[in-house]
Amino acid sequence: MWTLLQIELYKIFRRPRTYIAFVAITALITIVQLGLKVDGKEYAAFVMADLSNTLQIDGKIINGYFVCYVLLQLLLVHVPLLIALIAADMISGEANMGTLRLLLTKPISRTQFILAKFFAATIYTILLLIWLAILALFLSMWIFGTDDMFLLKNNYAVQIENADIFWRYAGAFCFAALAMITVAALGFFLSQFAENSIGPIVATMSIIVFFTILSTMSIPIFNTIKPYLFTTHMVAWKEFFDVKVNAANETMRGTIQRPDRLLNSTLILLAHIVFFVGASLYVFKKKDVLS
Amino acid sequence: MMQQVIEVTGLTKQFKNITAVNDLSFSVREGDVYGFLGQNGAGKSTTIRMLLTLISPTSGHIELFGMPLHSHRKEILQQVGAVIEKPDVYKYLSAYDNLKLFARLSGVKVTEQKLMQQLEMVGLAARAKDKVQTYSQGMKQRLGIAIALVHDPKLIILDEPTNGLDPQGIADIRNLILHLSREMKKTIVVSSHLLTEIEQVATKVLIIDQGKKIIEGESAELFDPAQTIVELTTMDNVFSLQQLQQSSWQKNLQPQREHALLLKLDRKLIPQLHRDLVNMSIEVLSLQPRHSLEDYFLQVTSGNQHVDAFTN
Repeated sequence: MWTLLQIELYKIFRRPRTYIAFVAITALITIVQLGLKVDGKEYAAFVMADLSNTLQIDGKIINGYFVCYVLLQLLLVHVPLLIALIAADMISGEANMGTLRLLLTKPISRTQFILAKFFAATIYTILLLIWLAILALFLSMWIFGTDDMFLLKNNYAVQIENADIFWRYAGAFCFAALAMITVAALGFFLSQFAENSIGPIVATMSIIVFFTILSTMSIPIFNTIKPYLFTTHMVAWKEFFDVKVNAANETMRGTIQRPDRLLNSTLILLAHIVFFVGASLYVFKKKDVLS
Repeated sequence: MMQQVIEVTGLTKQFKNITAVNDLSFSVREGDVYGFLGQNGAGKSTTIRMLLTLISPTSGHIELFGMPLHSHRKEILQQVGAVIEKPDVYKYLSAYDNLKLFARLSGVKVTEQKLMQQLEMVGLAARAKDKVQTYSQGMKQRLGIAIALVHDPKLIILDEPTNGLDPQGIADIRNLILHLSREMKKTIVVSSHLLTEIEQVATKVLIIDQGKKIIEGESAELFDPAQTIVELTTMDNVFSLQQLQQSSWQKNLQPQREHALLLKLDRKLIPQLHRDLVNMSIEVLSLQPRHSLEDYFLQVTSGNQHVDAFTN
């Protein structure tokens, strides 16, 4: 199994396509960082326009933590496409190249084959998220420095102390990795039904867009299914940045306002991953390889 | 006594309404070069894919090396090397990297020297480090064969190994098959739609059409110019078959076609057969000797496609 996984990772990282995602993320993040570095004050004034008459804010609003939050909000919508580029190609790409039949004539079980491929896609996803964290968090901290983080939510504002932020990002990135692995599992599952990777990539993205629209629409008929859509839970990383307040309405360090929501979302995403991988195993073990 | 390497019994594969392979039985002995002959779409590739567990049979039984394939897949495939149709490999890797990767997948650790020896054998040593995307079809085919051989398998399965090759490439593959059989004592199953290719390398031949076995036998006999296939049509084929099975002609009987009985015999024995049919009260409608296996094959398969395929 370890050998298989090594081989799969070797194949992934020898393909030029793999690096598209890393280059795209680097380009997007550096452009946003450059923009905020040059015009950060104007951006902060725009964001705080409604509060400027009622609230006096000292310190650096545009600091590394704030920039990272902005970047995560922007990028975690687009990263699924980059994940799908690899995950939805894992089986269909082999079928398209004609290597699937050669691989399956080797003395490896189909279960091992599927699991090795899925773990390889998972490792790729995690590496992409680590790269995202290095650029969005650490590079932003280096460029913009650190301070308390001030976030505007729908109908309230949150101020999180400087010393209380880093662990929240660690949690948020871990949760984002789980959400992206769910996307990878979906793309991976769909990749079994096609002999070229375009179909599964488009199908993965279409499902995500469709479910995201359902998740965000406030129409009662959709409310019953919303809790079960993985897209509803993919944004739950933001829960790490909602802090409990005490009776005096002061934020309590080291707390999350709704940890139950976070746990629920984690379990639902895990259930989706198990389902997609299980379904992949079931389908692939019965599949006739005709490519 | 030579061991049976492949034993296939009643193999059938149904794809929705199409029966790709229909109740096929055959066996391959150790050391055979087993020619698997049939027109395009006859069921050769489907059968080979079932031997390699790429396709599940609808019914039937496959044993390799004396073990049932479905329950001993891993042990069996460790001893099998295969090239299936086009030899597709990772084009963004070099021949050396591809070979190393598939050697690891086959569960063997091979040294750089051994890998280079394999590439030397198929004439690719000089281009070992070049990416496969720069290779010709013939070079890819030879790399596919190197991959099939890298773990030193006992059985080699080559599905249409000369597809898309120029005459020199075809001759190279033919010589390689003969080398593997004679010098390295490998058992080889090779499929083709070209009779001339099979004729030059096979020790035993199976011809299939529309998923069914047409004829199976030793090449020396099948390709013997003195031997011929006689196609016999009678008023009552069931009765005629019973009579022939009880006679001395029983050993000459071949797997039957729908509306005719087939016998393989020396051309000189045809008058004797004629007399015996009359003595057995068999009412003969027609008795047609075919000149050769190729002639016979062209007759039993119909349409231009067959003529094209066998006159290539």
